[in-house]
Amino acid sequence: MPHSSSSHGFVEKFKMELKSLEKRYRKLQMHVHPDKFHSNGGDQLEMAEEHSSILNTAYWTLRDPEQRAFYMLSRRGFDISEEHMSKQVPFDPMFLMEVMETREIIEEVPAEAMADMPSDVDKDIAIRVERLGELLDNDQDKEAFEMAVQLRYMNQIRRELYELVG
Amino acid sequence: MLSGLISRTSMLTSMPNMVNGLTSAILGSRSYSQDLLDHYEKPRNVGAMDKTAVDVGTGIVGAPACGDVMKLQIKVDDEGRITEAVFKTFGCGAAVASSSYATELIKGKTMDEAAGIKNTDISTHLSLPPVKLHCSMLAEDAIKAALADYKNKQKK
Repeated sequence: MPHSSSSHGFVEKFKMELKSLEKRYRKLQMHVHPDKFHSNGGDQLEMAEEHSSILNTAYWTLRDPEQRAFYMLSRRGFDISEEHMSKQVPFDPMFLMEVMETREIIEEVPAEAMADMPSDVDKDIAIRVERLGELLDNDQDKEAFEMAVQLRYMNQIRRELYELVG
Repeated sequence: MLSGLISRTSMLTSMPNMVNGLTSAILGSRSYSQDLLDHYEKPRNVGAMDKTAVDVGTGIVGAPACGDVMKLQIKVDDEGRITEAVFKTFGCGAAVASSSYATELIKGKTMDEAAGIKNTDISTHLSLPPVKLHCSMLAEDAIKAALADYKNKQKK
């Protein structure tokens, strides 16, 4: 059964139009932001704070391709809890080896020699995100899960790299 | 998609480990034992061996929860005893400490003895907090992967 149509009647596609996402986020925040409920006090303020917080989480989850993908996969029955994901998820050992080697290079090679790396990593990530979208939209969930995990490893590399190289 | 997301239960239970990661990063250092800190600040046996050498077994494992990787390598003599062990880990303090301690544990042991090492041997010694127990499991997996790689090579 295809996943792309949800119970809300809209089609759940991976690609996110960030500007319209932000617009909808701000609109919803106007309804739940605690600042609007200070005079109401007590329970209403507390509820507003909770809703606003959840709304923030939702927004930041959907904004980021990796978070968005895992969220979508969780809705398709994948266990993405920290507990389950902490265990080794069996997949391509060659990929892990490449991750290991890349991180070793980042650690050992002087910054000047790594000038090309950030854009190479960014390109790799962009390609993966594109592929991830295709897999999710085609309901190829197992492959999408693997790609999402690979994306997570790549994002970690990216974070390290930008921390070092700026 | 946004308004459909404000269904509290499903959102929070399926949320990626973003918040968990933050929490443990903030709380983590306070619950690290002296042994753990010792292995993190002064890790033993950091290094690399030639993974093509016939007497070397290499295990590379990863934890998708955090995107970190652990490599453990062993050198085995003709009698099947582990004479040397090194590691390289990109991860949190508990992951580094776990793999560091793992290399200490397996040195001098036979392959069978090393295969018998459990993650609890590591987590108990380092007094790992519950949120970091998976790091010791990863180290156990790394040992087993290195042994498997070595055994595989002997078949060829």
